[in-house]
Amino acid sequence: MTKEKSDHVYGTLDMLILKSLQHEPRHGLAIADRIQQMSDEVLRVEQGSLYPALYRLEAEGWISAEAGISENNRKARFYKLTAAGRRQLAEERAHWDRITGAINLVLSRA
Amino acid sequence: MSAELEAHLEGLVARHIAAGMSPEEARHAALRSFGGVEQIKERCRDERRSLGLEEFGRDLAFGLRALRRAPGFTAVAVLSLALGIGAATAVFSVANAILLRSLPVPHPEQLRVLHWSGTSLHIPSWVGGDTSFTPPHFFRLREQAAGQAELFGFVPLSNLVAQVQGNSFRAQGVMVSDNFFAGLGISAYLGRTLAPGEDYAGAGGNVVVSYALWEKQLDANPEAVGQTITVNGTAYTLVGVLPRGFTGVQGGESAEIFVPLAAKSPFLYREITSNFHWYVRAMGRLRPGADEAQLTAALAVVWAREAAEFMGSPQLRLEAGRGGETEDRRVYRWPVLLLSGVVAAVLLVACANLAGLSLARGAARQHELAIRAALGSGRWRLIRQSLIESLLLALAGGVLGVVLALWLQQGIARLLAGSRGELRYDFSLDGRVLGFALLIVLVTALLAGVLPALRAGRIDPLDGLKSRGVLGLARLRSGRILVVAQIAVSLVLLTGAALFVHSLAKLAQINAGFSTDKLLLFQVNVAGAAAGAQPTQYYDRVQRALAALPGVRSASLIEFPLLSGGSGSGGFDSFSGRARTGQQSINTRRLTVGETFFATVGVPILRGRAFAAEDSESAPKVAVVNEAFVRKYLADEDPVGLSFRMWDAEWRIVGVCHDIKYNTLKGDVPPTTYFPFRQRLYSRFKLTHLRTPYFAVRTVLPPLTLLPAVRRAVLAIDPNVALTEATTQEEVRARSIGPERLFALLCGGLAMVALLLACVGLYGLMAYNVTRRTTEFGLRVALGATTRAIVRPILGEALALAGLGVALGLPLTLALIRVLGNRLYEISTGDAWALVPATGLLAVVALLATWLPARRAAQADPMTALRAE
Repeated sequence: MTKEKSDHVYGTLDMLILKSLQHEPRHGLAIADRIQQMSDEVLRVEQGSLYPALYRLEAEGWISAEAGISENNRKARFYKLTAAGRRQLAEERAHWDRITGAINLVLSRA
Repeated sequence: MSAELEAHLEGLVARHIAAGMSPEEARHAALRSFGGVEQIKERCRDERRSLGLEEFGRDLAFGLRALRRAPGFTAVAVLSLALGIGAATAVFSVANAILLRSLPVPHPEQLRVLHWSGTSLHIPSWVGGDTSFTPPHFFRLREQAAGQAELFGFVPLSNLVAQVQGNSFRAQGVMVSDNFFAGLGISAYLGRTLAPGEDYAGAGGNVVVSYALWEKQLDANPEAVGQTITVNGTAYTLVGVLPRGFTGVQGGESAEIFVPLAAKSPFLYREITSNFHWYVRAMGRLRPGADEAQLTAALAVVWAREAAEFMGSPQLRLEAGRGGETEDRRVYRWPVLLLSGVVAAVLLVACANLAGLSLARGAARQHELAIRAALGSGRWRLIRQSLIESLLLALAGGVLGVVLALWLQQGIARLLAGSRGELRYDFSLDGRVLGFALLIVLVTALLAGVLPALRAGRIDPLDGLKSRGVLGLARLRSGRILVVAQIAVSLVLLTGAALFVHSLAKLAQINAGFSTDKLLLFQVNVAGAAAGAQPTQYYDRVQRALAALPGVRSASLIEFPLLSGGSGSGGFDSFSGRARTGQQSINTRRLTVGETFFATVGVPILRGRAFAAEDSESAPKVAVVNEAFVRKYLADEDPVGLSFRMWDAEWRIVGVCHDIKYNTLKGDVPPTTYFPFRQRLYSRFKLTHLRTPYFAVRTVLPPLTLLPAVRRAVLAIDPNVALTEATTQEEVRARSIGPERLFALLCGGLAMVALLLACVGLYGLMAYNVTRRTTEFGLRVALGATTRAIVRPILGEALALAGLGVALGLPLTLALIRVLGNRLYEISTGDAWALVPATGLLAVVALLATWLPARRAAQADPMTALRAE
């Protein structure tokens, strides 16, 4: 079951990464920042999980990377959402809504 | 990657510095929050590389575990798949060997077989059908074709007795033209093949042998070349050994000795310049760039001239020779196709069965699947996992099936051969057969797995999470469709099997016209023995010695056994009864026999007399005809006293005998003429006339018990004569209906398999339905429903499904009856009665399969059922 659990965790992080790339391409650090910012500082991305997740998303074909220059003039890889990625984001969003809805239902009952 | 991570780190450090830390502190803090850089890099690499592979490995392990947890399901699935795949592979292997395989020579697509055809044949005597020519014809055609194609000729020689290094053994052989091997593209493994000029005018003293013979009889001696081999009494010099795997150009026969087609060869039927006997078969290899149409036209012109004296409008054509020159492809095409159809049907049933069982199992595992879906396994993942399970089952079934096929194919081949006893093909599982098996495995996995997989992908997490109970299991509409389909196919197979069995029963009952009981048969070969010089005297002595044995009623020579498929026929060159027969050509089957033949076999003489001692070599030649001959050609008038011309001699009809079957039990008795052997051996080509006759011995006791005594008596006369092929007439008769037995056996067996599978499928479906409605049944029992009230509707549902299946299978079955009616012995299109037992059997099986689950439904405990809610 441990494997499944990390599947679940990966699932959430993947979704958040995709969301953060919804409007513009960003590099790794900026993605972590954006997630933090969007969640009003509640969610802090574990640095060690960020890059493996990014590489996995790239392997699945949901994001693509190109070279660029970061704000502090260093070479960085900028990640961008692909069309498949947009679809995946929508699916994960719907999936997430369903699960949380069900859990809420259970918790709200006696 | 490093650059990227480095940049990230730098960014973090910059932030920490901006927040007031010293550069060193900042770096430490950044590294700490980052974790191990190398580890991260490793994980990144893993993600990139093994995303697909790792998941596949996990799915595989998961699938294996799931199957191990359900041993019953797995066993049934693997077994039914093994049966289907095994049968399919076996039939394909046989089809491959007989119909598809090419000769083991380079560019077999360039090979051609020569066929002639013509109208109103007046051939004096001919051998081998329409691919045989006379030696002069062959040489003429070869000459004509020289520029465009290499034409080579051959004559099959059977039952040779060879001797080398003191060992005596039997072998098959071929008499070949000098360019036979060159034309085929075969060079010797050891020594050489024949040289140009070694045929026709050559001395013909050289021989080439097969690899198998060299291995077995010459102990694979590399110095074997130059040794002397005696074949049927004539000495030859061994000049070469052929490469492994080549056994002639006729599938089903295994040739080991190759002698040249030379003027001095003792295997010729007459002088090599004679146009009398047609026994040389011709094949050719087209030269690169040759114009086939032009070649055919040129040859046809020559042929028209050569054959004009023998037939009207003689024609010549070139047929594909990839597989050599053999009738087998034509003869066995229909049986093999039929078998393929049956086997495909069984395979379909097995797939449907597996699909149905998988569906039921999948539905029962809905809870587990739902959890996995909720935890993020995508739809495709679930579908993939389900397909992998199907693939695992199919692979297991495939491996088992291939093993089964190895065993099955030998049986199939032996039964297909029928009266020939054995089909000598190479049935090894070559690449093509194994590839076919793999294809079947994949198709099976797909067919059986696609439905359950799609269903697995449609799992809605909420539905499954709702309750641990059995509520919410789907109604499985597709499951019912599968069961109905299985029953339909079973109906077709069962009906077919019933018809085959019926046909076989009818065949077994046919009266052969003589008593096949207690008749011993064996063959002698006088080649190489002293008896060979004076065969007539020898055969006479054998007949008398046999008759003198205790326990023997009578014995006679017989050219070949009745009902063995052996046949000889020919026409009368002239007939003194022309006044009555008119202009129609007289064509009759022929059999050379001893004078005690009619008494031994038990055939009454209706008019005139049988053969007697006075019909010796020097006396006027006599013959006996049968009733069918008289019926056909003489309108039942007395033929005794009429004479005819055959084999360059005058024969007088002295008697009419009762009809007996000739070479087969099927069909009508053909017009037959019987000749006494004493008056047949008058040509100097003694080696080609009656060189390997049989003897029939009518015994008092069971025939084979007399075999040792018979053997002693025969060998006492001349110990160098080979006595072979001892069998009984009963056995020969049984072998003659071998193919029918094959089909009855196979189709019956496969139909039973299909029925069993359908039964299991129906059981599975009914059991699943009962489980699904356990609560309902529990409630009804609690409310007072009787056993009957619960069981009845369930049984009714099963019968309804069976009925639907029968209705669905009916049109196909009727079509099958019509096809079989044209092909099977004594089966007509009106034999639809076979449907009745088939349907009845299906109904019984359906009821049986449902009985257990129905009983379980009636015994549903209300308390447990309600508690599961």
